[in-house]
Amino acid sequence: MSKFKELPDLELMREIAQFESRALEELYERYSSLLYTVIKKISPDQATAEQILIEVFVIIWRKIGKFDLNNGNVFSWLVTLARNKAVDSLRRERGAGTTAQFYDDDYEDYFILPSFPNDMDSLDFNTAFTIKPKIEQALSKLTDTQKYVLHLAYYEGYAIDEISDKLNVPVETVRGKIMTALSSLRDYLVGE
Amino acid sequence: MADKALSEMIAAYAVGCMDKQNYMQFKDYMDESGYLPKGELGELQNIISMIPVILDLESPDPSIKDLVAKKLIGMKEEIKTKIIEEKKKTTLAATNLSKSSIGQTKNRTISFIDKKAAKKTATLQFGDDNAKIPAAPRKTKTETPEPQTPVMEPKKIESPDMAATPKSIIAPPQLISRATIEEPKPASPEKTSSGMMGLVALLLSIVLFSILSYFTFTSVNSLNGTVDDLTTQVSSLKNQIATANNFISNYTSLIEFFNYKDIIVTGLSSSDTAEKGSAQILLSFSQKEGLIQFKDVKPLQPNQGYQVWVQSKGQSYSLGVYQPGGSEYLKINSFPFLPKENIESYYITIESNEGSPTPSTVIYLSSAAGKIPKGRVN
Repeated sequence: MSKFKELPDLELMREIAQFESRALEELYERYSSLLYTVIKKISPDQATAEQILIEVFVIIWRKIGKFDLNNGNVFSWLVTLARNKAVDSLRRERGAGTTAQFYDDDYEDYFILPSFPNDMDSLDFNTAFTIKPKIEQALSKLTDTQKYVLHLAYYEGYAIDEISDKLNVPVETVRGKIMTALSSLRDYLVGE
Repeated sequence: MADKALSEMIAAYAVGCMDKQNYMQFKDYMDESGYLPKGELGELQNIISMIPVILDLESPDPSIKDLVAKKLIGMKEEIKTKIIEEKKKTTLAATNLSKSSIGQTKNRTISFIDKKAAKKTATLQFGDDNAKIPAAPRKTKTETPEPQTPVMEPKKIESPDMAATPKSIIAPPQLISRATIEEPKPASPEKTSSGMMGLVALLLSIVLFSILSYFTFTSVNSLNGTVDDLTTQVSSLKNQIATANNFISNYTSLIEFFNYKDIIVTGLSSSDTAEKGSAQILLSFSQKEGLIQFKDVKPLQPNQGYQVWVQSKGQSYSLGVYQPGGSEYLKINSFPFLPKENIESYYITIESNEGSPTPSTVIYLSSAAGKIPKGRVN
């Protein structure tokens, strides 16, 4: 059995930072299904989703230095990275022909790589899936409107003013719905 | 009101639904240590990232993993250059840090830039004065005084009097008159003054010398510290480059091999599900070249080796004996001169390290029948 199989997520990231390719392989085994599922939910088709998954792992390999190897939150970093990359691709496709389509290292660092505060609690793959039933319950307590606004924002990649246009409601209402939805989720998951 | 506005921005940032302008504004605000309620953003970002957990997980096609590997292997030069550049940056930053003053926290306020409202009127913004967020205490920008340069000090201390002093003490003999010798007079105030001046000059010289010695000593100590730091950084850089080179050298043969266009990849595994060992054979029939990679295989005795076989029309042909050290790619030293259509299967047995003319032990790993070619890599 590979020694990397037993390593916690954060240790695995440290091995990857030493350009240990088998550690990246283990990370792929551990996370590829989750990341692929997120990306596929956002992407228009399977081929695009597969291409984005490849690009996400290339980013992990190239930009591992941007991850906080001391106290980083591997689970949230990877999911957010995959989501950001897929949403960026979706927005580009949506805005093709109307906006400048540049993409370089600086852009990737600024808009694609997740930016987390230092006081963030760490979360790993097993913990996140252990509380899956609780997350389902928390989401089920949201109103239909809150769920729909969250869906449009997170999976459809729409910005607040776009959601406002789409639903024909004031921007302030959209902001409020998002904040209330997240507060409800937090109260249920953290507050109890 | 202000708390609500900030909470709305934090929520929007966590979900990732800010437009570009607001996103940049909020990110800059965070980067410049603007006030954020403790733990709130991190909590929300964790919650948001857990939302996909409720989805039914779907595995990507197995070929995607190979494509990831292939893409990464193609990046060896970029990685090497990146390591060197980042280390250079780190060294420069460390040098600059020692010169610059301590970081400053800016007092910032932030509010949504409301595009719609801005179109209607410039003053009607979501974040008006009443809605301003309590900002972090502003640290006043401290002007760091320029370090004093001791070498410049002597010019300031040196006075015209000091310059004149030696002339007064060592007066030319021809200026002493005969009358002065014959009729001694009480010492004139001028002579007393020049003696005092000499003493003062001597004391000043000693003080000046002491100051210079002190500054020289502290400067040398400081430089020694910097040199030690740089030496540590250089050795760390060397270690990282050595790691990168090691990685690159392990994969050089694979990188060269992937230049060929007709590569057939075949996976070999054990029929025993408890056995974790596996192997992968990559063949280019046009170039008559191939590679083999072993993964998690059983350790061998010193006189043993893994002998790889190809079966064609019921006959077994050896592709060589290998003693892998890890999961590196090994060049196949005996390419099968057989039409690829006639190849029925590949398998591996454990033989003596000199090889066996025919398989003499049980099959350890094999490709499943009917799976050749398993995959095709371009």
